[in-house]
Amino acid sequence: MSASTQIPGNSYLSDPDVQLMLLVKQGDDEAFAELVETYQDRVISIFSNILDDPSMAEDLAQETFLRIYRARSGYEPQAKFSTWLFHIANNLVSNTRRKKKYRKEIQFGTGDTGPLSTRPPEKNLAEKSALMPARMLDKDELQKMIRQAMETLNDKQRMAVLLNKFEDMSYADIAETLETTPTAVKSLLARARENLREYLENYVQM
Amino acid sequence: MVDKLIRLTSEQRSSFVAYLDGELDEQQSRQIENLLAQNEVARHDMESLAATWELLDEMPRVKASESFSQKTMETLQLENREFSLQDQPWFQQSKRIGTLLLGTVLVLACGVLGFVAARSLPPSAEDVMIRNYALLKHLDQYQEIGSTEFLDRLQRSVEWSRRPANPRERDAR
Repeated sequence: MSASTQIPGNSYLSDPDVQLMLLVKQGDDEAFAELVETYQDRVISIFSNILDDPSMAEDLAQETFLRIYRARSGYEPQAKFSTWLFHIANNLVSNTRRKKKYRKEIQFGTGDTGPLSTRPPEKNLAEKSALMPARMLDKDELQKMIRQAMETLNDKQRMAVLLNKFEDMSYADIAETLETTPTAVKSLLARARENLREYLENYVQM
Repeated sequence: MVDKLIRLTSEQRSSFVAYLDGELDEQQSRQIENLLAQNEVARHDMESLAATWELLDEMPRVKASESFSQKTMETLQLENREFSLQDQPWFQQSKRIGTLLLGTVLVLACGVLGFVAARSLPPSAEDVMIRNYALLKHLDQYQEIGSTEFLDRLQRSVEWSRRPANPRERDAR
């Protein structure tokens, strides 16, 4: 079966995943299974790195795919498939964060003063091992430090970093995913990477 | 020599990241390359940015569980089945008839409930007066007589039973 609903001059049609999605639109569930197979690890990895909760990462990844499937009948290729997919994933992260924050506020009230909030524990850990070069840390410790460094970024910066690093996305595609401009992405990533460098410079081997 | 250690502007620093990502145009790239050639601080900055970026390769790449794809497909097939059932014309018609039937039953039930409620309520003072209107109309006369014993006797008397039924005939006599 081939996708017959091609829009003349649409540059996104050269994206093979867009072609698969057009097949899904025509009722081809096997094409959708192929898309799930292609993207499942990548989407789960993004969720897992942002939310630090593997089981929630799978749930959200499944919800991402279900949302795409539900939108199949009205699908028109207006971006690369991956851009669309990660845009949905980013919205889900924002919603989840909002719900979590709301639950936290209900649980603890809005005040953030108190003995537990005076100094984040990860800060202590980072300072304790600040003098250790990367070669002296084992893989687990290094991963822990990187995770903590990533936690110093806000959600938008983190998503931009992950898309840039692991999805190899251009600034234009990241901008489309995060609903912002390429110039904003440029400064978002510059700030994020500067933060990461400050946090991790003691662990890099130069 | 002074140029080699000159501090970088924030604009230059932010362009470093874009340079590493290959997001600068040719002219901007050349500017950065010239800066790197002349400035030691810039070189160090660029190297540490690149090294930190490489360090992120150590981040764990989580894999989906083996059943993830199967579970996702099963969930959407289930959704699909629900949707396709709802799309059937017979389902739509049954739904319409069901709604209509339910509405009728509800209206009837409300009627019956209303009737039962009205019957079970104690009569008001006005209802009692309306029901006993005939008695109330002549209440003054009944009170003047004082006792019904006389009336009973009168009703049983022969004269009373012989009286003409029509009042006009009685007057003519």
